[in-house]
Amino acid sequence: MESFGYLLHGFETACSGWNLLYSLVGVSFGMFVGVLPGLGPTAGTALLLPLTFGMQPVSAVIMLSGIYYGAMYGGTITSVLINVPGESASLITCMDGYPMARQGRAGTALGVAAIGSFIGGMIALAILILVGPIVASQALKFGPPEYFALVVVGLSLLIGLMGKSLLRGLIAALFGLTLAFVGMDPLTGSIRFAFGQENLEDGIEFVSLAMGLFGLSEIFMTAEENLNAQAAEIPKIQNMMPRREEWGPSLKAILRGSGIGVLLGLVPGTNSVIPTILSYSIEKKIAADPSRFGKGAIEGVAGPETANNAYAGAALIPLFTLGIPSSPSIAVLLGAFIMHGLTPGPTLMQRNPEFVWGVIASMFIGNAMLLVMNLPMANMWAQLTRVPFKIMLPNIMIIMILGAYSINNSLFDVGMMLVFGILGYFMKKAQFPLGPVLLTFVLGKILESSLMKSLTIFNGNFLGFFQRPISATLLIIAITIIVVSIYLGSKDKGIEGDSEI
Amino acid sequence: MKTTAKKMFCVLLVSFLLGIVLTGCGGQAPAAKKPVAESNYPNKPITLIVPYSAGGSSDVGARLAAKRLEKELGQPVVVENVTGAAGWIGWTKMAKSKPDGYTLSLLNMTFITSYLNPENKRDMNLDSLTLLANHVWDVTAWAVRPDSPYKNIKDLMEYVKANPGKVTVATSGVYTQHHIALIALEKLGYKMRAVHTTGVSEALTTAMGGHVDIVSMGAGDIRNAAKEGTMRPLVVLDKQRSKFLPDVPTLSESAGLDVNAFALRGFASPGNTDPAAVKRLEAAFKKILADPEHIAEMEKMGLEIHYMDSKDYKAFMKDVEVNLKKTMGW
Repeated sequence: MESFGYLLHGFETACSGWNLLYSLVGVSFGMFVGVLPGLGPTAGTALLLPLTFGMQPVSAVIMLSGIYYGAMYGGTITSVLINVPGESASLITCMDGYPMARQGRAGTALGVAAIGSFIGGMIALAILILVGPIVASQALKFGPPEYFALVVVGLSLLIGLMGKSLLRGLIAALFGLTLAFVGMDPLTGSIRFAFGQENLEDGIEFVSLAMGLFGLSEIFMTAEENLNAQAAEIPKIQNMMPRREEWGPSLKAILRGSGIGVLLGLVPGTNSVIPTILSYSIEKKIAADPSRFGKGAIEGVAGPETANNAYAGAALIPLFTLGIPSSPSIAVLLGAFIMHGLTPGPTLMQRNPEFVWGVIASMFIGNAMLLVMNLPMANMWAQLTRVPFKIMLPNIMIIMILGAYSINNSLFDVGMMLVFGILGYFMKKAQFPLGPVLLTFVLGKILESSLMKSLTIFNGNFLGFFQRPISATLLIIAITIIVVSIYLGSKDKGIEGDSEI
Repeated sequence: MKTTAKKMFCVLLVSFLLGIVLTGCGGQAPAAKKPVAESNYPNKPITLIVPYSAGGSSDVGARLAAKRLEKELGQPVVVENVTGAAGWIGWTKMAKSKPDGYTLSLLNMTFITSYLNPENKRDMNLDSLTLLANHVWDVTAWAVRPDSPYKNIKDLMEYVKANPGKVTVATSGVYTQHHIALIALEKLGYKMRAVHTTGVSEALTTAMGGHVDIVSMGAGDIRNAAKEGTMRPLVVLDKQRSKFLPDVPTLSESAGLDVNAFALRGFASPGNTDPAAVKRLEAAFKKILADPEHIAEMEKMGLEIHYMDSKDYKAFMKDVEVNLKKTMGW
């Protein structure tokens, strides 16, 4: 098989000394931001993005993707031990993970989560290897109308899954779309919303936006809430392996979680929280005794923890093959691709196989590293929650400011990051989800330019979208999603989709 | 245990800071000093502003030249990427610096488009700068999918004439040389629809997927696509054939249309730069741009070197300005 040969080459790339180190740095930093309540994968990747300037593109993406899936592992630890999710994809793990810890079974909860995460990650990678090249070979069929339709599906899902805070979510999404307008009109070349500022003519710098909204705002929140907080009591971690009779149900939950994560990873507009919630509710529904859930059911930890890792791997498929980010963290990765002169899209896998397969191979290695970090070394990471914030936060801020400056050697970007940090702080205070802002910012640019290109191709005829099979199908799916969610919205809401932090 | 965690954190922190420092000084070892004949220029490092982000074709080309300039002048040439406003922020920074020959910038032809467009309200033009030397001449060519019904450019142009607005062309953006050539052709009665993508690679994949009929790109890029067999070159928009596509006819020879499209990339410094420095730089550029090694490394990237001295370059750019004004009605 062709892919297999490429993969071996990929391992050669990924195992070269420096890349191995970058992978280790990436997953360690991922664990770090995962464990730290507040800072999540989006902020973590955005934080290190500017530091990758001088690196080879493959090393840079190996490191940044390591942060992204590493954070999925790390978030579990604080959820289980102190009932505070390290990042939002581990929110649901608190439900049964913390009760398990109270029963003295913290080790087992972390153990099953680590094993599940590993299996989920591996399954997602296998799917990526098998499906990725097939999608890529068909990806040229995706022209501007198909991109437009796909983004519309993503945006309608984003809204459909917004849950309780629909109004706030919509405002956040529209805010992101508005930010995407700043800069040059792709069709006419006119400068819009730049207010005479030459610095705004190329649009808002993505890294400033991401670091400000996600990183700085979180630092402000933490500084306000618990700068001087006492370190929480950490329960002892022992007996990582589940009991013999628990293996069966756990493994089944892990497999179901993998399936859910992989499927949702393919869809733009979702985030890593949704698969965890879905997995949890499915586990609860099909369990023989649903009353166990919330009191330390091992499936309630195994399923969701697997789902978020499977999601993280599978979300790379639309990124690699179409260049479409499915979640805010992936949007940051897309930014890294562009910064390094790589265009994710139909030709990436053909033109830069050593890059794509190097990154994929590094994910096998990174996941294995994470398994080690999370089984025998879980205790060490747990201690990280005890580093005082007053030491941690100023240091993180220094790195962020240096990072923002180094993108374009411009102080304007630093100022913009500060502005978005303050804005993000107030948005958080008012309980606006921030994920939709970033996602619609990125998708909005694709949406606008693909709409304009499509209309030029169709000579202004809107019905052209429905005369092409792929775009017609996608648009019908989008309409269905909107209709169904309006129908469901008029009744009771099902899923509470928090934004990915 | 507390100390372990702290140590971990410190190690992480130090490695990140180290990373910053390392990325900051991308290895600019000062070259050995050589005696300079007439004036004492240059006697300190020179800054070359590249108004685009690092890693792009403009940046790489400029860096290759900078490396050789450094050897030739015996002083470090530090490339600084100052991005924003499609290059204008970098050019402004260069134009406002001291005219002593120690701050140069890469100058793209889009400089002219940018200030000619009245909507942009720019406050500089060619006369605000000292033009030193032209470096790259990037000729535009068109290509179609191998299975395209347009077998040659003559048939295509006849079809376009008979069916105005039917044929679509992917460009790498609005007001690029690709777009402007289409506007010029429209004035001659050949109306095609420009589909503005976000860059060369997107323009290419859109055409490869058959979503547009033609892609308009640099001849060097088309050569690469033709080698892969994904695209079939159709025409070169220049007075003579391109050395990258020697078998491909020009628009004037096959369809009798005198519409040319190209991009120029050269080097400029602030207005009224010290004449001694200009002279030294001009001579240095002349030498390095004739270096076969440099020509070869640029060709590998699909870029053709076309040296012009300060005077010729200025005159040529003035010509470009006049033509642009006429075509665009600005």
